[in-house]
Amino acid sequence: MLGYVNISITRLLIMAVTDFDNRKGLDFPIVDSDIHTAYRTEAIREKIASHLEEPYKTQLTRETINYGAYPRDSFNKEPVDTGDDTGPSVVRGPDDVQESLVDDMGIDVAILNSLQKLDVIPSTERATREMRAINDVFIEHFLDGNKNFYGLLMISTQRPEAAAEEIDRLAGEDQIVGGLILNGPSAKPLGHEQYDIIYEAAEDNNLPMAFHTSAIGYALNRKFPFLFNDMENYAGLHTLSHPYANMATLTSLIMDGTVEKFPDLDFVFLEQDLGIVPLMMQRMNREAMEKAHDLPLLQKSPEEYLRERFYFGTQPLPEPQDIRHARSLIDIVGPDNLLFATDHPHPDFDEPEWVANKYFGHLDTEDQAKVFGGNAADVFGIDI
Amino acid sequence: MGEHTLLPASEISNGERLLVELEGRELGIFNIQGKYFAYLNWCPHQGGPLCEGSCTGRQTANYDRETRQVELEWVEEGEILACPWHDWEFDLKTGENIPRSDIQLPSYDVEVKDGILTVYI
Repeated sequence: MLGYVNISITRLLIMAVTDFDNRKGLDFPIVDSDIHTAYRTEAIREKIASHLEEPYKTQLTRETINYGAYPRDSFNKEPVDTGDDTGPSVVRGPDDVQESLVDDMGIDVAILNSLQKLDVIPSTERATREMRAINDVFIEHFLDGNKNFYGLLMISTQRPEAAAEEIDRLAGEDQIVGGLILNGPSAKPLGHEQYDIIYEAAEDNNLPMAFHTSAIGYALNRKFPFLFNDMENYAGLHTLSHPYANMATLTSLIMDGTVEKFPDLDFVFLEQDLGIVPLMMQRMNREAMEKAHDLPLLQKSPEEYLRERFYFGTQPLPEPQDIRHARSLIDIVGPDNLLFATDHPHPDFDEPEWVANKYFGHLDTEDQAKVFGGNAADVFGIDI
Repeated sequence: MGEHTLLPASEISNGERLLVELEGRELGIFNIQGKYFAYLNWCPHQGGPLCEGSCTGRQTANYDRETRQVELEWVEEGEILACPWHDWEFDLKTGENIPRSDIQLPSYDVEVKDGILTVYI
């Protein structure tokens, strides 16, 4: 422990005084699997609106106190630091990704998403139309012409047939490498049969399905548990929001049989917290043995499905006080299932060089290369 | 170790079982559709009295992609043993755990010799 502390301080000093090459020591391609593009900026909203008919156009662009599309909680989320940021705090365009991630942080391949809260929009028609407009703008504005940028299609689950059609419509785009559902606010847990048509489209189009929730606090589905403003502070909400929603989705995909209905479909989780993986794996294993009668579709243990077909974003890496505990977690989940992610531009981002040493320093170079890019290349089908 | 003659096989008819202790081991001997199977009365999960559990069937499931329906069927009634402790289920004809076929019950050979149920330890 003491040695580790000394090394960190030394590293900080070296970084401060030298022209630090932040790729030193990471001698393999780095793929960032979770980058959020901005959709609330006026410029982007205008672009999306240009793809919409009235009245949807005006609904999106009219100035309101809180944008209008998505309910805002009233938590104080302002950072304490009010100083100048060192880079763009929203990703308004591909140049922002180039500057912050590629140039500053040494990312080689960026996998972007739009992560729009489509399942929170009360109007199903509006959610469906905005889904299409958002994906068109995402491809045109953030992806087209940018080598080494790829993206996940935003999928609303409100009208599953429309979601399937959207996947069919855009899966052929070169830079689209997966579908993304913002999990939590769907009507039912995401392994419910009403969503089968969506997974069918993803499987047919050879795209993995990714899940990324939001700290808005819809955990299992739109009805329960609804954490929206029940915790006293954002710290409490954010502690639970990501793990709860992702535990629910993970459980449903396996225990409700989706993994068996679509045997060639891979699943990607982002920002879920790696800590949930051992819990889910080990608890579901037990449940599958003690309640086999509930699970006639399953042919393998939950752990086997998880290890063979599920990938987990590394961000945000958890912080036990003894770093060895964090490394044990990495070992339990295993280097074959991890996807390095920064979560740029969110404040709880992970910096690649730092976390490579702290969390993955005990892995051999081959396993590090998998975590930092090889696994993403496999699941998203890209060359790196 | 050896051969143990027990009782006329006709006394354990289809769906019935005998719990017996032989050479310090508790065994359950089951008649499934006229064939006899003998297993150690000890669940591989946590050592529970497996052979005292209920017999039941199981559901098979197949997803039909064309219709988007799961086809369910109840099969093997009476051939599935559920441990009384945690409901671990085993196929009595093979000794295999239902979800994990690689977990298999320790079994013993059973014969009907001149009408008498005979077990070999």
